[in-house]
Formats: sequence, C-alpha cells, structure tokens
Amino acid sequence: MGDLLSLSLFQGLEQGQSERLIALMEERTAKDGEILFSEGDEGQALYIIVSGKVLLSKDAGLGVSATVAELESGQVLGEMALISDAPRTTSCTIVGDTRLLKLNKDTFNSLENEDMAVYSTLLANLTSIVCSRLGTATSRVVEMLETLRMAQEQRMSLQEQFEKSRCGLLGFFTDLFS
Amino acid sequence: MDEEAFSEGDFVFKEGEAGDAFFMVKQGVVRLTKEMPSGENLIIAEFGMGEIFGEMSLITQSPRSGNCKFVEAGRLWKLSYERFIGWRSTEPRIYTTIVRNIASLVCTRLNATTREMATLLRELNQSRNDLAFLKESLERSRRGLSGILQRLSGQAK
Repeated sequence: MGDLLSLSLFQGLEQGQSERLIALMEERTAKDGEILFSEGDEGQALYIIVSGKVLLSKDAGLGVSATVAELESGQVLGEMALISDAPRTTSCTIVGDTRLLKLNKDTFNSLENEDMAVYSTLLANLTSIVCSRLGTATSRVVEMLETLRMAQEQRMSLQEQFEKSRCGLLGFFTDLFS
Repeated sequence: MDEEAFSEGDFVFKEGEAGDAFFMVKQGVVRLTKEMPSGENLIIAEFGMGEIFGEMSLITQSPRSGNCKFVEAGRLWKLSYERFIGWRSTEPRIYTTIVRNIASLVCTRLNATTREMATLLRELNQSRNDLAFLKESLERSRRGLSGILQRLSGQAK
C-alpha cells in the first residue's frame, strides 16, 4: 500500500484521500497472454499495475502491429480513458501473471460532485502523466527518424557496392566470352 | 489574459526555458520546432488563430520541449501559470474544464505520436531486413567473384 501511495497518480493527495481512492478501485488478476483491451475499444477504466507486466501495441499499417511500450509494476495504464472520450489508442497484452487495480471511468467522474478537491488533483495528475508520455514519445520518434535516416544511408552505400560487385562479375564474364 | 504582439521571426519561447504560461493565437501563425541530433529543425506543429499551445507547462511545469516562433507576424493571448493555479481554489469548475480541455488535446497528440512511432518501428524493422538481405547478397556476389578468380588462377598455372 505504501508503494502505491508514492505513485505520481496520488501526488498532492493526503494519505486519507489516497486510501479512500484506492478503496474505490477493483482488484483484478490477469493471465499471461490475456488481452486487457484492444485498440479501438471504448476506454472504461484506468489500471495500476501492482505486479507483473504488460505490452502496449499499435497498428503500424500494412498488416503489421508494433509494440510501442512495456509497462511494469508501479506504472499506470490506460489513463487516457478517464480524461478523454477517444477510443483505446493501443492494445494491451498481459505478460506473465499480473495483478492490477482498476479505476472505472464512472467512479472517477462521480468524484467531481462528491469530492471536487480529489477530482481536480487526480485530473491534473492524469493529464500530467499523459504530458510526460507525450514528451517521451516525441523524443523516441526523433531518435527513430535519425536511426532510419542512417540506415537508409547505409543501405544506399551497400546498394552501390553491390552494383559495383555485380558489374565486376558481369564485366569479367563479358571479357571471358568475347 | 495578457495580450502581446510579435513580428515574423520573433521567438515566443525556446527549448529548455521554464514553462510558466500558455498561449492562444489571436492573429498570425506560430511554429513549434525541435532540434534533431543531426542539427536539422523538425517541425512539430503550427498554430493559427484561435489555437492554443504551450499548455502542457500549465500541467507539468516542465521546461519547454521545443522552440516556438512566429512565422507570420501576429498577436498572442497569454495565461500565466500563477493565475491558472489560483483558479483551482477560487473557480474550481473553470479550472477543471481547462484541465480537461488540455487533457483532450494532449491525448490527441499522444495518439498521433504513438501512431507515428508504430509506423517508424515497422519501417525500421523493414529497413533492418533489407540491410541484412543486401549484406548477404553482397557477400554472395563477392564470394562468387573470388571463387571464379581462384579457379582461373588455378587454370593459368
């Protein structure tokens, strides 16, 4: 419980407020390979990973799916569902036996009338988590663009060498048979 | 909210600066860029009349993640963090509405960025496979050439 309270999700909340919030969450276990939610689903809850691991994947076009993130115990998952009405942007697959705490969107929304202070703090914390994820994702995209550019340079160079090598072979045979 | 005028080329903020306000474009166009390791400036976004930007600093208080400058002269409305955070106790419903609107914006951006990440991951993977194939082809080609040369030099003896 102590570990949970230190999560950024609960930042700015008093211990009593955090504990009441955790009490509103459902405990849920999930098995290896289980799909917790799929890209495009209606998002209905946020999850805290108490123990275990999940993979987030996204449709990458051309029939391929790419793993975009790996989350472990102590991390929050699916938080966008609480602050946005957009459908799930990734699919979530469970890795190994995993224990989760689930906070439903309805429960979160009802806090606005029941406890505005907790609601506004939580709302700000959730938004902050997404902002931080945006920062990380943008940096990764910048890195990958650079890696891709270098790979393309390397490929052009190899392509050139390959062409020269083939020309070499071809020229050789031409001389041989002329 | 305060209003400020800018000429073309004026910076609104630079990467690394403290983020203490968010802005709405009243007039003109601003461009958000990030410097790549190669030195190139990657354009992250452009904002025009009525669009807001810099709002993440109201939530995270982190340093600015990119440069922002006017590419077409104009005016901005500015809301400082201090005023915004004051509304949390004095006008909680306005505060939460603004946070929710910012949240919605950031979620949309995260989705777009994640989509780009997924596409790049696929392209990088394809690129790695192409490179491996090219290297193998090059190897085979060289072995072929070297084999022929060896046989010929053997025949010549």
